[in-house]
Amino acid sequence: MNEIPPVVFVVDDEAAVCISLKRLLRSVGLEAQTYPSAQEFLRSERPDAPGCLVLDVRLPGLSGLDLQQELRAAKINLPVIFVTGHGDIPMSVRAMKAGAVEFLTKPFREQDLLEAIQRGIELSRITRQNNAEIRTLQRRYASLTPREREIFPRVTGGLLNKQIAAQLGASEKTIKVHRGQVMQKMKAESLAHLIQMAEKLRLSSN
Amino acid sequence: MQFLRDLSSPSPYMPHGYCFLWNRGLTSLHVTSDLLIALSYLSIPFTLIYFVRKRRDLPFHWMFVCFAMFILACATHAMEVWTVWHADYWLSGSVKAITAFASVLTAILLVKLVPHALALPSPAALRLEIAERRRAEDALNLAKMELELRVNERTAGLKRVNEDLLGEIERRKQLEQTLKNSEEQLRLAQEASGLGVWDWDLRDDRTVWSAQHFRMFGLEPSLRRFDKLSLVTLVHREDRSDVRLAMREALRPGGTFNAEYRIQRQDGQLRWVMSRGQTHCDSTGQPVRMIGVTLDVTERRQTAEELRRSEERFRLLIEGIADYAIFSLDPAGFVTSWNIGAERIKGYKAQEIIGQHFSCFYTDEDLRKGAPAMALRKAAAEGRFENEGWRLRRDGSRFRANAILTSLHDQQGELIGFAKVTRDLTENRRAEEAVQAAHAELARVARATTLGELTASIAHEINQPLAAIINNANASIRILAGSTPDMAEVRQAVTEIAEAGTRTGEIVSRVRGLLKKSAPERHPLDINQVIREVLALIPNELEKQHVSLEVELVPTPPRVLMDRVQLQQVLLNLIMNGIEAMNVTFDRPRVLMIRSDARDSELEVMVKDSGSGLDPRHLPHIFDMFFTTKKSGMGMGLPISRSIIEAHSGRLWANSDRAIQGAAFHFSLPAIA
Repeated sequence: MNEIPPVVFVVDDEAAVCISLKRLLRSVGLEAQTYPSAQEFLRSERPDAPGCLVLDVRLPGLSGLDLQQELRAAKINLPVIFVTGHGDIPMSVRAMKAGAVEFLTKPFREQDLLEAIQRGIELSRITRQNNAEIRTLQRRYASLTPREREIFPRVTGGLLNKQIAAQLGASEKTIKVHRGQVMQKMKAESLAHLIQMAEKLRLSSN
Repeated sequence: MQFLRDLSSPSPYMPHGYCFLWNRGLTSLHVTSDLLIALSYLSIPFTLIYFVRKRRDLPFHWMFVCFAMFILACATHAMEVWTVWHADYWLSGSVKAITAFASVLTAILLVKLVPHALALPSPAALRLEIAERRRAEDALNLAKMELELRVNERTAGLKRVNEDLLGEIERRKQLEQTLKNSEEQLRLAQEASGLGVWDWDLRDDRTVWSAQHFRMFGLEPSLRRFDKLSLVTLVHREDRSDVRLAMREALRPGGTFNAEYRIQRQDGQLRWVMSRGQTHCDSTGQPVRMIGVTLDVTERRQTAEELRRSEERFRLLIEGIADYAIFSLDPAGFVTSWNIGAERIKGYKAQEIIGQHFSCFYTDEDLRKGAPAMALRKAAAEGRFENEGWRLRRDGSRFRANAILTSLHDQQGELIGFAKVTRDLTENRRAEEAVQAAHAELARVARATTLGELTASIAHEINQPLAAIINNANASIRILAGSTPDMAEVRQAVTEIAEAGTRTGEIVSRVRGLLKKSAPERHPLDINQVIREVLALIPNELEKQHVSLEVELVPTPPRVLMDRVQLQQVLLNLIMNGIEAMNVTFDRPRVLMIRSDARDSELEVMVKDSGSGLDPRHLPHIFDMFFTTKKSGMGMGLPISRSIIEAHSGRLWANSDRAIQGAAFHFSLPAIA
C-alpha cells in the first residue's frame, strides 16, 4: 500500500500557539494546517490523507468539545488530541469518552504531544485502511446473485452443504456450485478467509 | 221495615170513599168539611206565630209556639180527604200518631203552665198599680228638681273658687318657669364652665354643693348636702394639710379660700381641682358663710406636665448630641446654653462658657473683619445664616467649621436670641477618608474572593504564551540539530519566544497584586435577596452619579446553587460597569435596570444601563482578561464574572443592540431541581 503523507490539523484561537505548533511539527517532518476557529475548520477543504486534529478546548463560538461532537455526527473519523490552557477533570473525561486520543494541558511536553500525534496518525491510517478494504469487499459482495447472498452467511455460519440444501429446498449439488461461485467472486482463498470477510461486512449467519 | 214497605207499596185496603158508597152528597160533605177544617187549622199557627213575633213581651210565648205546632199537626184533616180516594191508612195513621204526640206534649205543658198563668196579674190590678206608681213618681220628680236647684247654686260657687284657683296656679306656674329658666341658665353656665358651686354655712357647719360639684367629686348629685369632714376625706392624703391651711387662711376677716389640690374619687380616679372662695361676715365681723367655686384642672395640669416633659426631653436630646456643637445665644451674642457636642468640639465646659460672648470662637482675622457681629446681623435679618470658616478651640487650636446661626423669636415676633449649630469639618473629612479606605479594603476583599475563579483564567492566559514559547524552543532545537539549519526560521521562532515571554511577564505582574484565594461555598440562593444585598451597597454611588434604579424581580425565583460572595461580586461588577458606562450620558435619563426572571429550568438576570452601549469593535473582547476601555480599569471584572458564572454551569453574555439603547448584560444559572 502506497503511503500518503499525513496532515496534522491544528485549531487554536491563539495565533502564537498555532504558528509555534506548525513550526514544531514541521521540524519533525509533519505537515500541519492551522485554523483559528472550529467554524473555519469545518468550512475548509481538507486533503484526503491520514491525519489527526489538535484541538483547543476553549474556542470562540463553537468550542473544541462541540467540534468533536460535530465531527462524530458527520461520521468524519479524525482522531482528536485536546490541548487546553487549563483543563478540569470533568472536561477531560467528557473529551476522552467522546473518543479523544489524548487530553493535554498547556504547556505540554513536546514528547507527549508528538507521541499522541503519532498515535492519532496511526489510528487514522488503520481506519483508512479498514475503510478501503471494506469498500472492496462491499464491491465484491454487490456482484453476488440473491441465491449466493442466501448461501454466503450460511456457509460462514458453519453449515454443511447438505444442511443448506435442506434449508433452501435445493439439491446438495446445486449448493456446492453456488458455494464455489461465492468463494470465487469474493476472492476467498479459504473458508477461514471468507469468514473474516463476513465479519468485516458484518454479515449475520441467520 | 214492614211498616215502610206498607207505606210505599200499593194499598191492599179500600179507599174511604167506599164507606160512603161513593154517595156523592156524603162524600162531598166529608171532603169539604175536612178541607175547611184543615185550612182553618193551618191558618191558626201562622196567625199565632205572627202574634208571637209582634208581641215579644208576652209571657210564656214558647207556649204559643207549642200551640202552633199542635194546631199545625191538626191539619191532618187534609189526610182524611186523601184517604177518601186513596187507601193509605198507614200513612194517615202515622200522621195521626205524630199529631197525637204533639197534642199530648202540649196538653202536659199547658197543665204545668196553669199555676204560672194564674199568677199573672189581671189588667185591673195592673191599672191600679200603675196609678199608684205615677203618684210616687211625681213626688220624686219634685224632690229631684229641688235638689238640682240647690246643686246648681253650689256648683256656681265652686266654679268661681276654682277659677280663682286656676288663675293662682297659672301665676305660680309662670313664676316657677321664670325661676326654672334662671336656674337652668345658671346650671348650664356652671356645666359649660365646669364650675362646681359650694356654699358653706359656718354657723351650723353645713355645706351645700351644686350638682356639678358633686359630679366633679364623683358623687351622686342627690346628696345635695355635705359636711366638711367628709369633704376632707375626699382630698388626697398628701394635699389635706394644704387644704386645711388654706381654709384657716380664708376664715380670717376678709379672707379668701384659694387652693389647688388632688381629690381621690370613689371611682378610683385621681383628679386635680382648684377651689376659690370668699368669706362673708355678719355685722359683728364674725365669718358666717363661705361661698365659692371649684374647677377640675386635671387636663390643664396634664398638658402643662406633658409640655414640661417634652421640653425636658428636647433639652436632653440637644444636650446629648455629641456630633454637633449646639448652643444658644442671647440677642447680643452671649452664650446662654451649651451641649455636649459643643463641649467636645470647642473644648469649653458649660459653666466656663455660659455668659461669655461667642466672638471668642472666632480667629483674629475674622474678628478684625467683624465676622461675629455680621453673622448676628444677617441671622436676625434673614432668620438664618450659614458659613464655613476657621474657628478656635479653647486651647487655641483651629478647626474648619460649618456653622448655622438661626434667629429665635417669641410669640410677638421679638428677637429673643439665636441657636447656633457648628460642625467640625475636619472630623467630617476624616470620616470621609475612613469611608474611602473602607471602600478600598472592600474592593480588595472582593478581589480576594474572586481569585479562586481567577486562577483558572489567569492560568489560561499564561499557559497560552507559555505553550507557544515551549513549542518554538523545541522547534528551534530540532532545526538547529539538522545538518542545514534554517536560521531565518530559528530567528523567527526566537523572536516569537521573546514576544510571548514579555506577554507572560505582563500578565504575571498584573496578577501579583491580587490576594489569596478564599474557599467558596455553594448554597441554594435566592437571587432576589442577593440582588437586594448588593443594591444595599450602592445607593451612594447611584446618587453620586445621578442614576435612577429600576428593579423588576420575579416574585418567586428558583433557587440557584452558588457562592453568595461570588454572586454578589458578579452583580456588583455588572452594576458598577453599568453605572460607570453612564457617567458620560447627559442627553437622556441615567437608568440602571435590574431584572430577575425565571424561564424553564433557568434563572436569568439582566443588568442594563442607558449609556452609549458597547462598541461593536470591542464586543468580541469584552470578556478577555485585562481588556478594558476604562482609564483605571483592570480589565478583570467581566472575565472574572464570566468565569464565576461558568463555574456554576451558567452563562454570561452581553447585548448591545441599537434597539435597546445602552448595554445589557445577562447571566443565566441553572435552577436547583
